[in-house]
Amino acid sequence: MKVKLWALAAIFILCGLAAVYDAWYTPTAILARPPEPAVNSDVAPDFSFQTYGGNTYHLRGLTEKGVVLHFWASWCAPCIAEFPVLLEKIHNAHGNLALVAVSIDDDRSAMDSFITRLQKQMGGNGEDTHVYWVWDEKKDISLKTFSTADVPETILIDSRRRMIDKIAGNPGWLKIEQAARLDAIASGKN
Amino acid sequence: MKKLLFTLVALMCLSGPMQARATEALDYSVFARLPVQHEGRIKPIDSFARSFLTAFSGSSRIDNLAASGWLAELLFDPDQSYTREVFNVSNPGVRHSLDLPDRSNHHYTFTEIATAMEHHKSMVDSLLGAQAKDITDPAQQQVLVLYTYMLQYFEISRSLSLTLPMFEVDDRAIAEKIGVTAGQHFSYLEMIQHKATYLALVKPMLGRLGHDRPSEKQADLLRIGFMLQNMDADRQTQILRIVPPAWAQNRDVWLSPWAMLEAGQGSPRTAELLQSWQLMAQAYRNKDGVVWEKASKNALAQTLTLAGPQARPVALNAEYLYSLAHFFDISLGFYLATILTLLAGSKFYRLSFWLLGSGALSHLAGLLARIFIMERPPVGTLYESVIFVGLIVVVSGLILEIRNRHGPGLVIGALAGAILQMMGMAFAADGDTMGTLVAVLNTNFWLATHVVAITIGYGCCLVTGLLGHVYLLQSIINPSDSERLRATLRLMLSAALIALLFALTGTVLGGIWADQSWGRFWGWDPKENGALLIVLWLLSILHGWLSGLLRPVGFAMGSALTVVVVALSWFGVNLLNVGLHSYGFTTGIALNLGLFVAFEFILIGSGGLVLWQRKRSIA
Repeated sequence: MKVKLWALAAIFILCGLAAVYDAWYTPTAILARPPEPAVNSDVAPDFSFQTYGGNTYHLRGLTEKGVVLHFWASWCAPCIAEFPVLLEKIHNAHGNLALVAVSIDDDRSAMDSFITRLQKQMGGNGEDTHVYWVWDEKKDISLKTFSTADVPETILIDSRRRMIDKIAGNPGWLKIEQAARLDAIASGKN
Repeated sequence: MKKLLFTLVALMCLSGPMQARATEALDYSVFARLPVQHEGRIKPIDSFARSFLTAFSGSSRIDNLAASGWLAELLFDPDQSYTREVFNVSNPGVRHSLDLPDRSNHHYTFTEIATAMEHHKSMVDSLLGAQAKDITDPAQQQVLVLYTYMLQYFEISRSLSLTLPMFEVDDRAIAEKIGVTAGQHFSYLEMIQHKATYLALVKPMLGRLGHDRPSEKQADLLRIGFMLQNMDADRQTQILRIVPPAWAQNRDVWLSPWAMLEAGQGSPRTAELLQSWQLMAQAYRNKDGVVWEKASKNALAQTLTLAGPQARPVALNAEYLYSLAHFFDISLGFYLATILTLLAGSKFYRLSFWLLGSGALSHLAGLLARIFIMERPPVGTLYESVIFVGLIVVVSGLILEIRNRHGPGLVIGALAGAILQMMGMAFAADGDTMGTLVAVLNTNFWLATHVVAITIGYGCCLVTGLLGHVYLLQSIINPSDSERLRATLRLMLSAALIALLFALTGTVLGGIWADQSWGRFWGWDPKENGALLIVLWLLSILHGWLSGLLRPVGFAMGSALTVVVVALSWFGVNLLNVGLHSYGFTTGIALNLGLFVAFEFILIGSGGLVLWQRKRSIA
């Protein structure tokens, strides 16, 4: 009889412990994950690039607070469509934003003629000193460093040169949320 | 369909530079642990390989290659894999429909299947165009299954095509201009870096190319262009999701390497990961064990870093080791050995007991491993319930044997354990046995209480039923041994009471869960009715016995029929595919279930008849 009572007590204690454990423990598979931070805290690799004008720069050497690393091509319709707005945003940031526009064109002349055409169309805004036109001939920046093969793709980099976000496709730079994203990295408050 | 088959054949012809090489020297232990997302969960690539290889060939090994080795070959040396006899076509109707050659092992290569499908494309097209319900011929159904397998095989083989050294330039001058080494293979990722130079070379040539046969130099350039064009089809490959997304959006869905590029999910980290896979491809083809191991380790570390808390390295290791350990196969071996020693006579009694005990330990170890890996009770699917009930019956058999030496415990435990393990193996052949549960089941509390109670109830019911069978057999063979009959009757009564306790508790707990999930305690759902049926059946026979309405033989017959009630509630309800429990829907067992029920009725009925006639003749 005594043994049975002990056995019964043990069962009750085990059940109690199991209930406490279950209340406390949540398996990984159904963890209620906290909202994903918008920030991918990885620091961007410090790559160097040669611009349309022939000067060489490093990402870390850029003096602007925020950097818009933009991958594009002259044959890409969404890229062509978004450039005027994007350039305007850079121009209006008053030197706080840099646009590193990396072209994955296979043909350098196609890129050159597109830039010339765009600059004519944009007048003064098209020749902003904070816009760095880069021809990524061997895809060292796009594919090898950033695994980017499709365009347009844009990586937003903050003042500490952390990659904040990546946008695939044309996000519509006129939208308030996109403007806010650009303002955030231009402010240097990240 | 035509386009796809054309692409298949074109790629098989084009992949000349990819020479097959033997790769026995490589160690797959790190590669096998690489995480991949498949069927909604993160698993080691070894499990991914096992589930596909088992589906294609009916076995988790092929030609002395373990599943991981086979997958590595398919990914890194597809040409060699296309000539391996992987596809098991056991249905003669399918072989006949596709004009496959007769072969004793009924295994065929990918090339043979793809060629056969190409030759019979009008038939395949018509099957693809038909409604699934209109295709009633099993051979035609299996042609479609084979077609799906062929596509999956091809898709896997092209998943890493961007990292494979598929390109080659023989001409030294052209190679120099493009910026590659003549005669050396290079990958799409490398080719794309020289694409600008390549296009600058090939474009003027295309203008000059007339109707004449191109020179060797021109052919070299044209072949590269053709391969680049064909590789565009690979961009659709989704099956091998080895890249955890690096960016904030949709972190739960992993991507294949091609899809990562397509979805714009590339990052410096994914670039490093791709480089590791590319190194693995090179090392595999060069049989370089050192680089292979280093690249595999890098890929593992990089994937885990990208995955963050989504992947548990310890669980990935445990799942890989679980696959190697074959706990359930070992326990089946012990159960079969127990049956053999029991047949050999009573001098092996102690050995039989320890063999059954060892089988139960191995069985338990497998279940504990599954609990650790899946972080939930091991009773979420039909397969799992079969394995779990198997352990309950074996442990019950051992307890019965301890309580009643030289009784029926060992026979019941070994027989039921072996049968249920074999059933489990049949269910396991369908693929991943650790699949993600449907949302309603994804709660550890109710899985640990309601489902465990119900399945323990099933197990105890089976023990009751088997004891009923034993009692009838003992009454027929040795009716004079009243002491043994009484002992079996006592055990049967205890088992029925325990079964009732668990079945009733499980059913009530199920009602409470249903109230929380679906807003009602009881809805006359088929599964609920099945559970109620078990409870009512057990109550009936127990009341029959207590009231004296049932004599020992009647009670034994009623107990034996519990097996039928349980089978109908456990498997039969799933065949209906109606009600809120239809997530457990199963196909293809109706005939077996029907045969089992008929067999049991005949067995128990004839046993009862023999005993009734004997009683009449004595009277």
